[in-house]
Formats: sequence, structure tokens, C-alpha cells
Amino acid sequence: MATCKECKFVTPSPTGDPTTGICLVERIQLADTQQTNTAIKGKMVQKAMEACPKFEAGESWKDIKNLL
Amino acid sequence: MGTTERTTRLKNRCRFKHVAGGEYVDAGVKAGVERARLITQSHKENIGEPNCVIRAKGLENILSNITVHIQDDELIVGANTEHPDYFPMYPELSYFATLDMVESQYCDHKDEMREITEYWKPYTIQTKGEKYFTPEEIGIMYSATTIQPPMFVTAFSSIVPTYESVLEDGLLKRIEEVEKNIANANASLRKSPWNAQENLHYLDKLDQWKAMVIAMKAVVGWAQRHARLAKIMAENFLTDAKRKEELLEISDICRNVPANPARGLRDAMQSKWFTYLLCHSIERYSSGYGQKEDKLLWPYFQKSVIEKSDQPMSREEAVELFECERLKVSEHGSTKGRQLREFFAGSNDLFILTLGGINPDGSDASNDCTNAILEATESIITTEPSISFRWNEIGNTETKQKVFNCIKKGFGFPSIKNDEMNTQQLIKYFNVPEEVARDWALVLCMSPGITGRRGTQKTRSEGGSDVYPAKVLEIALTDGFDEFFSNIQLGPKTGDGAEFKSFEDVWNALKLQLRFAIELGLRSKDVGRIMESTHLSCPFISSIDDGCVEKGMDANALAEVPNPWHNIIGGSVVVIDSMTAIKQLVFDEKKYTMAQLVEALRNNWEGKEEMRIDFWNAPKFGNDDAYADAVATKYYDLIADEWKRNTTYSGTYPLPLAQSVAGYIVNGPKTAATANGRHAGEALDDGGSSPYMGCDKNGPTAVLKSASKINASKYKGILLNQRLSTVLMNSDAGFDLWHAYMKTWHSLDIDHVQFNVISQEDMKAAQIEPEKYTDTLVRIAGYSAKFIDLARYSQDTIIARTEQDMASGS
Repeated sequence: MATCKECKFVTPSPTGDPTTGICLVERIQLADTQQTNTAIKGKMVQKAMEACPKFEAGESWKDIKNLL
Repeated sequence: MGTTERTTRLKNRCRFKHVAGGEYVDAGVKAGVERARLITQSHKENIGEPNCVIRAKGLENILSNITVHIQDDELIVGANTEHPDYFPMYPELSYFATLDMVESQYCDHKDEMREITEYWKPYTIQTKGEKYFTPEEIGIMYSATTIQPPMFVTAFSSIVPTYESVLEDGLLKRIEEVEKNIANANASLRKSPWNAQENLHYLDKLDQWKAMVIAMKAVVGWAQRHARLAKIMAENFLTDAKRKEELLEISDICRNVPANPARGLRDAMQSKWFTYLLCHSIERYSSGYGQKEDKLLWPYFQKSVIEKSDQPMSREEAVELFECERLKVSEHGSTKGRQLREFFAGSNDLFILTLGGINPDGSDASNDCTNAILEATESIITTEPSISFRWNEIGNTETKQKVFNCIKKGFGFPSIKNDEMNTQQLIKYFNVPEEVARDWALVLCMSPGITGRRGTQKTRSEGGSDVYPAKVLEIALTDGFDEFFSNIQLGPKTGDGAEFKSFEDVWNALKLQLRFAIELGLRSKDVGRIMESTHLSCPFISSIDDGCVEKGMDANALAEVPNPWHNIIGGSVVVIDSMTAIKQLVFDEKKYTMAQLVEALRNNWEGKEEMRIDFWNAPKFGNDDAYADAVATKYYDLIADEWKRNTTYSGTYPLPLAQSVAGYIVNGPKTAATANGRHAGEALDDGGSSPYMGCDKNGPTAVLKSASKINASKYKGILLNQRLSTVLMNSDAGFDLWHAYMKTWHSLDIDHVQFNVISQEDMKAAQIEPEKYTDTLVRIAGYSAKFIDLARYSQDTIIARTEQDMASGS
């Protein structure tokens, strides 16, 4: 079974702790009334956790445009 | 482009090391291994020696053996790594930060670096520091939610090197002075009769002084290696007569400095650059470019450019040299932990130099060196180093016009700091003599510290670290538990917000959560300070500080001039606007209950859009609205009072500093929906007194009036971002309008302001065709970045800022 560690939506933890990461998969398009377009619901994850249905394989986010 | 063909070429091949989302934008950036390899080799050979001696010998091994290189066209030489594409690694700092880099795509020497990383694990300041905290406290700190992880894991620091002592004395004179101290101590130890009280303190001092001598001699040798390389290249490998001559001059300069005093501007610039490299990235990593450059270089500028008595050069050559400096900084690779790389989105590191202000005698400090630096900045167009300009009423208009020229081009800098206010603060809070206080420079983005030969800030455990207020308010409504991001108890149990009966109940929970976060952050800093002074001695940095030499103390240990400050990063205005909305809609008008609000926030306003719009439309800070501004004043008084309760390593309380860098971007996705009508995961506000994106609707003067209601003198800094119209700034009346705006700003006793001057259309076009906007810079908050280097989420936060019309008169 795939784990969060293998998911391309999980970036490393802010401290570099190899066991944790930040999942940035959940993005919400905001209404036109808002000043910005997108909200990102981050989630701290243990990299050993079983991956969720949104899993896509990859070491980490490679496309910088999709980071923060 | 540059003012000369040389600087244009240098810029075209500059290896910028910008980051986005913690990753380097340029695919060619790599991790250098030589520093890590050499310090490890030396550590193994010297285990058992006092820490300061181990560290000095480590530095000696690095400087004696690291590859030195001189690139085509360079006038300033020296680097922190073996290759211009590389950044160095510091395995002695943070185990996690090193491991993160070693396992990244940037490291090509994985096996060797893994071995080095594991070797250092028990010796790192991370391992040493962690044992003073419970696992729960570590969990809170490392989640980077309510406070910044401690410096012993982020590997982040900042410093203002005592450049003056190197430029004025030269290291050979300082070696003699330290050797004299050693001789005097040895003589005292052998005096009859034996007196332990008078002499035992010398034991540690002797170690410190010995380490300083080793370090300074190694530095002189390293500069000589550059001198030899330049000479070899000139005599053996170059046919171009002009470049040959330049290299022979470089050789002469490196033979002279930093061993001896600087003779003219070329010596001073080279000596300053060597000192910068050593203090900021070779002996240890420290962020910043803290210096009052126009004051520091003015004597040498006068000799070389005006009097032409030493190292004569034309003014154009001086401008070219300042352009070269900007490119050296742009190419310089920094290595810090991931959180800090994420916090400087689009940039390389925080390089901020300071210009303007007044001299110790009270006269205008802006001079022709100031103007030349600003002209070089305007022509070469790089994001680094950023500039802070000390705005003093007596400052001359010619220099202010040059400041304006850079701002109107959209660089986002110089940022402006209130000179009189910040000088007075150093005098009042930290007992700095007035003539010393008048020489302040920013340590990092926003915080003034003294410059000079002694007593400057040496480590971020003196000033720095962050509290994140929006997250603190979030958990104040959820009994201290983070339901949204980390799923851990982040603070004390202060009750369920749904059951709060009064505004004071909400306020009290916020206060207690803030108190916990502040105290944990301060404790981690001071524990880190002890780890630094015990395990991370910096004998070179110590050797160039007159106080450390006199007292035989390590720079990390000595706090001769306290300068404690602590950031409150991105979210202050979210808190102010949220508390304002709660006060009005829940407790004054009673339109909603706390239970309804907490439920709506928990569900990210789902199914409650009408309610969210009510909260979004509640009074907002930045509109000269008395209701909202009263909450802002109350909030900032709370902040100042809460920090004032504490005493830090240097014996006094820290002043808070409200700003954001890119924390307002990075922390957005960690923060649940907030009562200002913001959705979960939206960005936060971009500074201490910057209105929330798009919420300042009453014009620029209303923003200034709101900002002025916060008593800025109680804080180290309060950041204000403003976006101004490109059309107006570039019109014939542009300078006059801006100058009038600045006079209003100054008369209102506001601490800071910085500007974005870029149109919505240009930013949107740059998102579609980035290749056409390679030189488009924007101000994030405290630093600038290339717009195209930012991720889309970050770009949108800049676009969302209100464009103010200075001509509106409102």
C-alpha cells in the first residue's frame, strides 16, 4: 500500500524531520468576491501513514508554481 | 542592465539562488560538500580540545583547503563554496536541516554526506538543545504553527559583523593585540603570591584568545590564497592585458586585506566581502547583510573617488563596483532549514543593507556614496541586497529622489524606516549612547541594531524567532487544540470558544494562548543561546569585536549591548479584524452567538455564506475606522505587555516586531477559517499594520491614520506594505506626490513603510508570459522577489493588495 512518503502532494516538514510532512493536496477555488483565487488546506501528516485516495506517486512537488 | 559591459555580462551569467516553496528555482543549484567534509575531518582530529579551539581549527581547515576560485570579470573575489552554483552545508548545526538537504535532489554526494550527518548527530546543537524540552513541547515547536521552531533545528541565525574593526585595524594588528592579552594573562597567572580569585577566570579566556589567533591567522592565509590564485591566473593563463592588470590588482588587494587596514574603496569592499563571508556563511550560517554601508565605506569613497589619494577611481567605476557587490550577493548561496526557505519565497535570503539617517554628530548621513549605491541599485536590478533607508527630516532631497527612483521602478525597496523614532528607541530601551544609537542598521528586514566595533548583535537567539498570532487566536477558540492542521494540543486549555460569554472571555483566552507561545519561544531561544555559546563558539566573529577581545569571551556568550526582539509574523491584522467582527456581531449587536461562530469556523463557513459576508463586511483595520482601530490599539498593547513580562538572556525584555516575510503565505494553509470572513487556507495579512488584502477602501491617508493609532515606539518594528499606482509614480508629479505622502507618514510617527509599484495588468500578464518579465520585482514583506519566481498562490497575494491612489487626497 502506498504511503504519504511516496505521494507527490506531500512536501517535507518545516524542520526537515524525515518522518513528517505537509500535505497540500486540498485546494479550494474561491468565489469572485474574494481578493485571492485559491485557498490551500494544509495538513500535517506522518509520512508512514497510508496514502489517501488522492495519492499520486512522486517524491515531492516538483512544479514550483504549485508550491506556496 | 549594468552600467558597464562587465556588469551586464556578470548579471547574465549570475547564478541566482532564489527559492520557491523551499525549493531552488534554478535547476543548476547544488549542495557543496567541501565545508562539511573539512570541518568534520578537523572535528575528528581535535575532539577533547575546548570547543572554541575545535571550532577555530575547523575554520582553519576549511580556509586552508576549500577550493578558491575567481570568475571572469569579477572585481570582488571570494565565495563560501567550491563552486559558484553551490551552497554550503553545516552539519554541526541542525541534524534535520542537514538530513533534509542530503536527501534532496541538490546533494550529489549522498553516501559521504549521510556518513557526515550521522557523525555529527550527537554533537549538533539540535541534539544538545532538544533534551531541555518535553516531547510535547518539541511537537508544538516543530509543527511551526503557533511559534517558529527553535534556531537549534532551523539552523537560522542573524548577525551584524563588526566590519569597522577589520577595515580600520586589519587582522595583523588585532592578532598582536590578542597575543598581548595572552602574554599578560600568563604573566598574571605566574605572579606571586598565587591569587585564585584574580586568575582562574583567565583559563577560559586563554582558550578563547588562542582560538581567536588561530582563526585570524587562518583568515589571513585564506586571503593570501586568493592573492596567489589571481597572480597565477594573470601571469599564466590570461592574454587580455586589461584583465591581466585587474587580476594583478586583485592580487595586491587580497595580499593587503583583511590582514591590514583598507587603503581605499577597492580594499574596503574586498575586506568587507571577506568579512561578510566569514561571519555569515563560513564560520557559521547567519542571514542578513546588516551594515550602514554608506557610513562604513564613506572614508574610503572619499579617498578613492573624491580625493583620489588611495586606489584612485572614477565615480563611474565606484558605481560599477557597487553593481558587482549586488551580483556577488545575488549569487551567494545560503543554507537554512526548510521553514526559512519557505518563508523567503522568491528570494535567496534576507540580505538588507541600510542607508541614510544621520551621523553621530547629528548631521545628514546621506552622502555621495549613498547616491552611488542607489544609482547602482537602480541600474543593475537585482532583488538582493534589499535596502532600508533611514528617513530623517533633515535628509537631503537629492538622495530621497534617488530612493524614489528605485521605488517607482517597482523594486519594492528601499523600504523606509523612521530614523528619529528608531534611534530614540535604542537610547530609551537599551541604554545605547546617542552617538552610537545614531549609527544603527537593520539586523534583518525590520529590526535596528547598532553597528561599529563592538556590541553588535551576533546571533538570532538575541533577537529573532516568531509567534504566529492568527493560529494563536484559532486555538484560543478551540481549547488550545489544533483541529485543523496538526491535530495536537498546541497551547493550554483555555476553554471552548462556543461557551465564551463576553468579549473579555475571548480576549483572555487569546492572551493566555499568546503568553504560552511567547514564553515557549523565548525559552527555546535562550536555551539555544547557551547551546551556541557552549557548543558553537565563533572565534573569528569574536576576534573582530573589541568587547570579545577585551573580555576574552565568545561572541555568542557576550551580550554587551542587549538588543532582544521577537517577531510576531503575519496574522496580526487577521486577529484585529477577527476580534473586531466578534466584538461587533456577537457581543455588541448580538446578531450571532459564539456557538454559531465557532461552528461556522470549524466548518469553513460551509453553508453559512451570508454569515461569512457579515463577518467579512464588519469594520476593518486600515480605513481610519475608530471601532476597528480601537481593537488594533488594544491588541498591540497586549502584545507589548505580554513580552514585557519576560527577561531574556541579555537581561531585559524583548520588544515585539510585527511583520510577515512570506509567513503570511506559508501559514495561510495552516490556519483554519477566521472571524474576519477569511476562508481556511487563505493567505494571512502581509505585515504588522498592512490592512488585509483588499480591505483598505478609504485611500492611503486612511491607512496611515489607522497605522498611526498604534504606538510604534513600543515595538522594534511594525511593517506597512502599500501598493501605489504605477501611472502616478511615473508621472511628472510622481516625486512631489510621494514626497508629500512621506511627509505625512513621518509626521504621524509611523515606524515603517514599503511600496509595490506594479500594475495589476503587468502582474497578470507576467503569469501568462513569464519570459517577458524576467526583471519584474515585487515586494513581499521585508524583502523583494522576482515575480516570476513565485508560486501562483504567492503571486495572487500581491495582485490582491489594494492599489492606492496618492492623488485622491483621501
